[in-house]
Amino acid sequence: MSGRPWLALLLAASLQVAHGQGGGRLAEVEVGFRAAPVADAWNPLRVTVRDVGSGRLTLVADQGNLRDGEIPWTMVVPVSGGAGVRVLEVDVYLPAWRSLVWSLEAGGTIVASGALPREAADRRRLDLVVSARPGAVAERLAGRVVDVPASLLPARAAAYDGVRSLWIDGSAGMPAPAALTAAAAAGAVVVLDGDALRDPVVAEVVGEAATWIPIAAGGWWVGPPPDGAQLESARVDLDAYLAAFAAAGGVVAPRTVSVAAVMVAASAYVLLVLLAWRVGGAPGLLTWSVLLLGASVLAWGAPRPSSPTLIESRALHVGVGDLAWRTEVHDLLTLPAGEVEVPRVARPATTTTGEQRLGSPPATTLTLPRWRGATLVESPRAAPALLALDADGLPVAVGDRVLHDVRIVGGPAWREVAPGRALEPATDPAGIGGHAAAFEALLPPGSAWARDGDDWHVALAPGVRW
Amino acid sequence: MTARLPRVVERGLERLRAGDLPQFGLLLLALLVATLVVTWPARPGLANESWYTVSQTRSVLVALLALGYGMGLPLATPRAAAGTVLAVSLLAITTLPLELVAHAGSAPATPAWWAWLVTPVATAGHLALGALLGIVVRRLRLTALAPLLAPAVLVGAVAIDVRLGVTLLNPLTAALQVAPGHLAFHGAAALLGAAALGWAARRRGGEA
Repeated sequence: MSGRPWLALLLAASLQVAHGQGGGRLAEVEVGFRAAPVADAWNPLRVTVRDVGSGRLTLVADQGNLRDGEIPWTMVVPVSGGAGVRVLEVDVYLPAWRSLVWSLEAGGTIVASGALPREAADRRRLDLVVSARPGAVAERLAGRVVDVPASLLPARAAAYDGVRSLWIDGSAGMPAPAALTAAAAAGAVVVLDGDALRDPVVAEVVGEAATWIPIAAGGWWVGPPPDGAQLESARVDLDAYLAAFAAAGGVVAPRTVSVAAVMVAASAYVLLVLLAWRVGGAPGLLTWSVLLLGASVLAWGAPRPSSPTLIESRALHVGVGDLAWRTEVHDLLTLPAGEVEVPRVARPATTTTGEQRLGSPPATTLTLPRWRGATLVESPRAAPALLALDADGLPVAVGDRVLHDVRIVGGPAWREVAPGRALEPATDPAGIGGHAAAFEALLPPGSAWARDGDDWHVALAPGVRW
Repeated sequence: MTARLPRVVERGLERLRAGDLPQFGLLLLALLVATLVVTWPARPGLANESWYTVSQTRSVLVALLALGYGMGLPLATPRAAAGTVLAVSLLAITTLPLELVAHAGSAPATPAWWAWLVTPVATAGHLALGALLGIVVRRLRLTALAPLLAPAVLVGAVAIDVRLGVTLLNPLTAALQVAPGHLAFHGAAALLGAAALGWAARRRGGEA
């Protein structure tokens, strides 16, 4: 046998290795589940880097239009690099974009970049499927069905903000139980079917439940698989809750000195200065100096707001049992024009120019004109509930806080409910008006809600929601 | 027993006590009070934009006053000229609390110290520019046009800045933002004006 075929094989093998090294990407960025992002929602972001030093990933979404021009929303994600393959998973808020570009910078150079087309800015929520036969679900639902491996499902509630349902039949493996709970807590309907119901963890939770196991603002569906209409009925419209809650707040512009007071004080100052000048000499100069100093101190102190930027934060909890879907709303008002920073990762409630920085310390910065308010909403997360309903459907404080203004939708009300204390006699459910009434109108009958300062707590009625 | 002030200071206070300067001062302060009251928000919750109008009005009126009185400086004795400079400067400083109240209510991004820094320097600069203008007017025998020249110089300053796209001479834009160029220009003008007045005084003394 001549040596030439071996030589040819060796050459081919060496070429393949070279291609593998040269053609391998330095970085891959996947926005959304299997690159299917949901606009106007928090999405999982997966960054994979190979042999790249530490740097940062910058995503810029232009939310502008023909009338207003560019309105950029920038997201900055620090990426910890190094030798080998590194994977970073975080959640970012994607507005409805006109263009979305990303670039990964490390060591002062751009090592990778890309863009998402405008057509990908789809607001419809996803139906995730973990199954060897995803087509069966796709035929059942007229929506955005995405086939996802079980191992890629994160255990972060914010990642499921844009997810309507998660279907698991056990034929393609089981996700971590924490991922199932996170998806349900975020408001998704987790449909468990087939072998999934025989999973030990699932079987223990399901027990004797017939169809629906509520978990925070979503739940597990363990009955016959639902159709699209049943899915929509089972879902809690958390966006509507959040919009009603956000509308109930807002920072009020500081109360300024009245125009009459300004007129009297300014006129008095002018008259006294003229009198001081009339006196003349050293006494006149001294009087003028005192007047100037006194008037300056008064002018600076009296009409000045306590801070040029006012921020008020409130939290909304919506839960069932011990677990709640929680998000925090920050109302801002800036008097001077400029950038206002909140040390949290949050999204604006309305289209605004701004920047979201993940990492340590996290921050969200909005660029606002003078005397303009804005509302920032943090990413949702699962948190312990502070308000629940007992077996009789009565409110009970399950945390360590005393809750006030407790109301059952369509039922009685209480002044307060305290942990470890029996309920006081119910009071007449006095009529509430404005935003609180609009919020209560969204809750299912039998649900309870209460306040803890500016925070609102909702315990949803655990019954079937369709 | 009363403390004795330096003569220049006494001269300045005397200018503020009698003559035309107190009348112009009253007019200036009354206009600023009226501007403040008119632009102050009538209802709570409304955006307070009073500072933008008050600061620009104040800046322009003080500049006009300084240019006008500056034109008379070359004719005065050095002591009288120094008294006038001091009186106009004190008058300019007197207007500052009226701007400060508008600043505190409006909360603009421009720092409050800027007005306190720029006012004495710009006033001195405008006095000097006025003095230089006065010398030129007399040399050219155009004194009849003197009352028109102060506003004309201000209009020219605005036009030059707008044309060049800078904030160097324009008191309207310099009132609203920190402008080091404006400060430097008027500082230099003040020094130049003081030197010119000194030279003119020495020359008059020599001729006498």
